[in-house]
Amino acid sequence: MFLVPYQLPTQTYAAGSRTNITLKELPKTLQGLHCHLAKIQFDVVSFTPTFAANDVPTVNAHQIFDIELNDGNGVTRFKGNLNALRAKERLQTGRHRIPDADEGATTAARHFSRVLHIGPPQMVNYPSDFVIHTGALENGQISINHSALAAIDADLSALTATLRVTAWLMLLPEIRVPPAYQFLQEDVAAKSHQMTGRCRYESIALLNSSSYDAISAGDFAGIRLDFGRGDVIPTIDAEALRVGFLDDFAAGEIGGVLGEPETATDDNSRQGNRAAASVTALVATAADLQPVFWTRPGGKLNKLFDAESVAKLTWNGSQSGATVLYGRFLAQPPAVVAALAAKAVNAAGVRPGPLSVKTLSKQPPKPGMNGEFLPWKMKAL
Amino acid sequence: MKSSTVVILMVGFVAYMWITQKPAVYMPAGAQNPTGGTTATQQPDTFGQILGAVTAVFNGLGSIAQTQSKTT
Repeated sequence: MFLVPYQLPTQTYAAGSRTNITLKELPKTLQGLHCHLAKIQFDVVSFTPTFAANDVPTVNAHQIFDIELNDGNGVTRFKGNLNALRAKERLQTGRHRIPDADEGATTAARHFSRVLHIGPPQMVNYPSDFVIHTGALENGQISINHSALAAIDADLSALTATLRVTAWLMLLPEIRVPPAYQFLQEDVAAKSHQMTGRCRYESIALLNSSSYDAISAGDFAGIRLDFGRGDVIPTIDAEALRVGFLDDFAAGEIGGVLGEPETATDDNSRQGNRAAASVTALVATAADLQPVFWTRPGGKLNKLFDAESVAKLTWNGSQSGATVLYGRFLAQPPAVVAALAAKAVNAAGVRPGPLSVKTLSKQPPKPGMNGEFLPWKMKAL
Repeated sequence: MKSSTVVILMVGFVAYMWITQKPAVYMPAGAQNPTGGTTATQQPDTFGQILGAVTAVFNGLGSIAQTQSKTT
């Protein structure tokens, strides 16, 4: 279904500052239909660095803005800088969805874009099962931290940039209450990480650090994942997990994902050489994203594992510490579903109508399905 | 005009107003019911009504107890 763009206020980079974009200004209805947020697009335009010696690598450039999307209903929908979005799109698609920019000379302007999808883009019925009514986002906001120059690149002496923010809205004749999806980045200072909360995990990945730098052979080695009912991943080599991931997404030879390399010179996966300022050669894919758990294209919400209270991620490699990325659906009890629906109804100025679970088959839900993780829909009168 | 005609007209008018202004959901006694404008501030128990409908669906699914609080 066609998505309608809506321009949110453009942000001008100012080192060390923090700005907020409130979501209250998003329209509630357009042309008689209800507006639902499907994705938010971030375009960094006129990224113009001044440096003495070294190019600003693509990864460094993505440190510029740290984004936090709070929906105003208690759920942090996304937390991470533009690198987290860059990793997320590879974790959920197997490759980049939006191309990177070439690196260039000092004071040469470049631009790049990233997209925050409100639900996992590879899952069945994206975006319609995951969109949020803009009325339910009345108290929501996008908080943006502008990084200091040194945090972006040690060689930077000046930087100008502008962040254009566009919300893409889906227009529907009814009000949807989606399952509560969030994607977060967390730093870990040990060889294990405990993720708390009753939820269903959609994807989990390991990074060398929050700088999104390269993973070395042996850093993670054997990775183990337990959702509380026994091992989902019973200590499997990181390289084996990566190959399973590439196969599930049919990533191909160019681009793709390289996590922990098989050897120090693992260059089977290739990517364009953005550092050359004109991509005429291929280099080894950056070894920056280790997939741990993922949902294949066409994955269904009902088939995800339940993590009842705690998920435990451990590894036995040489590295103590990492950064964990994960996307998951939080449990939504009836009171939360009702509160979100009521908020949307009141903001849109309509009357509540018949309410039901939205199933893939369009048939009534069967006993045993867990309404806490399902999308809901309501006719508005 | 005969008084009986007046009475009929009055009854008819009241019936017309009742039918056209009848809310889709129950509104507590004393609540305003304007002919125009939004119902946003006129439905103090919107949440309660929706909660009843959601809970009924949950119970029909046989989902787990609703007392668990959401953790983020």
